[in-house]
Amino acid sequence: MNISEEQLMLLHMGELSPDESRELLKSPEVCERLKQLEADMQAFETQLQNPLPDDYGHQLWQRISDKIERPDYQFESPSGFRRVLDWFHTPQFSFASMAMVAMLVLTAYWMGRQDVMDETDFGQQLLAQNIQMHLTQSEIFLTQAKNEGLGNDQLQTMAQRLLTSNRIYKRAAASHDGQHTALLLSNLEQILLEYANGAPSESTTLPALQDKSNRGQELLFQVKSMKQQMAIDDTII
Amino acid sequence: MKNEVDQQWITKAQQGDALAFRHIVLHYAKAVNALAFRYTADAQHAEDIAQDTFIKAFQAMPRYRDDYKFSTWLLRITTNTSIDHLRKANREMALSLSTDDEQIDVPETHQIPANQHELQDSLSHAMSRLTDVERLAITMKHHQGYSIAETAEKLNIKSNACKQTLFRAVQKLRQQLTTEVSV
Repeated sequence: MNISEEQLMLLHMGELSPDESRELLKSPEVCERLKQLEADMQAFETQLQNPLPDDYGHQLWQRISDKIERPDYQFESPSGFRRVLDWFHTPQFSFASMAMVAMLVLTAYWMGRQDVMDETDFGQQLLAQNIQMHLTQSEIFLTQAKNEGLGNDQLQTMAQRLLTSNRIYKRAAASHDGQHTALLLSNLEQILLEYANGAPSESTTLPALQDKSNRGQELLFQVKSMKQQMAIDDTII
Repeated sequence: MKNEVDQQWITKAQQGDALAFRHIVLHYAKAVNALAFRYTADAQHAEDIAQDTFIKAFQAMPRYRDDYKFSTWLLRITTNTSIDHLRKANREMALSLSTDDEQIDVPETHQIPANQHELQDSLSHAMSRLTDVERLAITMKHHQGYSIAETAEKLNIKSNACKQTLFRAVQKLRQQLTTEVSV
């Protein structure tokens, strides 16, 4: 089969269609000439070299390293965190940085103390409200005792129940610097103790009954006053 | 092309890290120079092109996308730089296209090279006898795997003219070379 040099070259370069290539390659003569061409081109492929020293890469880098410039658009704006970090690393801002850190520490300490104080206030308010409730029950008890609306057994039971809570609140008020409250609860405790022990029924002398009635009246007035005072701002005085 | 450079150097170089780019230069320097030498058949031109190629590559690093291999991207820059370099070197590529009808001055008979060194000299000599367009065309097509259409576009010539150029280049090279092939 006759094949031109140009066709042979196109066949070698894969530029002919698959059908054309298949048809041409049926000829042994074409195959032989193609093999010769491929061998020639392969010789160029493998033998044509520019001898270079082993450290050519290093030499090339030495020649271009000072010519390499980073294009402007490559600069990316640093992140906010990075900017803050850089600011701290700037010598002229080192003193300001130190002052800022100190201020942050003081602020954190102050805020921490505020939290503790807030917590204390909250605890005091809670105690004040509970004492108010206790005083309300005590007021009811004293009114019942004054009017003798309940039997002695009922008053005794009620006094025993109030006595327990009264002691708890007395201690709590004392620990919160509530001297007046603690004093009131202490006075209340004496009356409650007497009723809890069944004393009123056994006190039969007139002066004793008169004295108890007066103390009860006075205590009832103090309880009402204390309740009103505590209801204003929920503080223990 | 030998193994690709580690991706970490590419990523760092894209961020402007010159030391990372140094790794890339050390890895591909010989490959870039070898291709430039094929395009120019001149060691000094090849050296200049290799330098320009890496300088351009560093500036273009942020635009590199890993859709294709880094070596492919780098050697395409080498090809473009070689074409630009030959044009700037005032080698009239257009004129070389008008020499179609000139008789190729090639000895009809020549000695089979006695050893590898002589063979390399002979091949270098054969390449240097090609015109710039012929050398560019044969290297792009045969060595770099460009299609004829792509080669023609790069060289700014028509497809048929590119075929003719390739044909002449192959003829010239084969006339310079005698290769024994055992069947």
